[in-house]
Amino acid sequence: MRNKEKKENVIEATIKSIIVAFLYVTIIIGAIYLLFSNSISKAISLIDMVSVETSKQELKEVKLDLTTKNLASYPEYGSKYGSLKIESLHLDLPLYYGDTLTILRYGIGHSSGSYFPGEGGSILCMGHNYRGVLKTLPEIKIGDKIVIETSYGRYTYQVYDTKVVKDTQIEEAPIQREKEILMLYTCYPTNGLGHAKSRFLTYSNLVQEELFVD
Amino acid sequence: MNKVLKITLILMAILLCTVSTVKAATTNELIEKASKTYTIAGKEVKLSEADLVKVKRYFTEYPVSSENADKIISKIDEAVALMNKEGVSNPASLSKAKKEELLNIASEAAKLAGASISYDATNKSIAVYKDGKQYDSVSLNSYKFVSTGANYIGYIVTASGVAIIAIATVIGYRKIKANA
Repeated sequence: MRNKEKKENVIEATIKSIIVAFLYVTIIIGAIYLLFSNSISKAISLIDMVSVETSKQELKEVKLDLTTKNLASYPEYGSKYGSLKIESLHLDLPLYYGDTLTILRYGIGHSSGSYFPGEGGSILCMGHNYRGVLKTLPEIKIGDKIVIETSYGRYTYQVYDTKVVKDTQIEEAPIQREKEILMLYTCYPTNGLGHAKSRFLTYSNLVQEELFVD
Repeated sequence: MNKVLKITLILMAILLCTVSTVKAATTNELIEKASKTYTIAGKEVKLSEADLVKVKRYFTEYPVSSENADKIISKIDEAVALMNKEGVSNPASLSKAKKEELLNIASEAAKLAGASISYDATNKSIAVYKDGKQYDSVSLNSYKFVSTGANYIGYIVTASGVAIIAIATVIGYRKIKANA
């Protein structure tokens, strides 16, 4: 009987300890968040910056077939084949072919399920919402220019629309070959702690094409 | 040559040219087959435009023989039949054994196209290889945008859990010691 009582006391004490510990931790986390939220954001940005690796990959030579408007040779999957610049946001980022999580650690990814600059169709690119990548993308304005430079040409696109969409609304980034449109997105909001369920998506028309002829 | 024989030979040649043979599939027909809408388990299913771009790009760069095109088309039919037999339109809903069977069918089709595939656990996708290098990647989450943000909630929950256990242990230990 005494053993049974002792056991019950121990269980009760354990449960009370866990509840007290939970309250302590909740109060401490709440206090840290209220007092140091700015510093936490800066710390997260620093972590984000070191999470994006600098790839020493050289730019892959790619050629465009002017007759068929298809690339004569496609870049190797996962290779850097160009750069993406947004002057208004002071961004000059390496552009990689592919959109796996591994590739996105190095810069802007280009979905292989879309067309290439110069092919006359939808181009779908994306990047992390980290400082130094596309954290400031939501600050882009209608009329701003995005330039993609490759070994075969320089393509200038002008932003004509931006929207916030859910991560499952892929129909908001239609793939077609009637008109060359650049769609660039990142997770939204850009300062969240958890898994972002939205994407900030920009749409840009091709306004200038400069081919690099051999 | 005898006039009758000449006419006979000419007629035979004409006949041979017009005899219908089994028409082998071309790469374009293969792409058309991949672009079709299929009814699987009562649902209309087709490849997304993004996945079609990948298929067209591959077969434009690496066309297959008519013989192999026919065999690949058979593999597509085999995959559709498997899904219909299991009564699912989403491969994710298949049992583990049937998923492996489907992956085997896809692997055989890839081999006929001169490629190979493997499951990429890191990126949760099917990696496509050609001549020893990765050619493309097909996401298993192609119904949503790629994740381009970090998720710190997991770390926060884990750290909190560890802290709760540690504090509870200390409080409990002190209580037991005090009551001893």
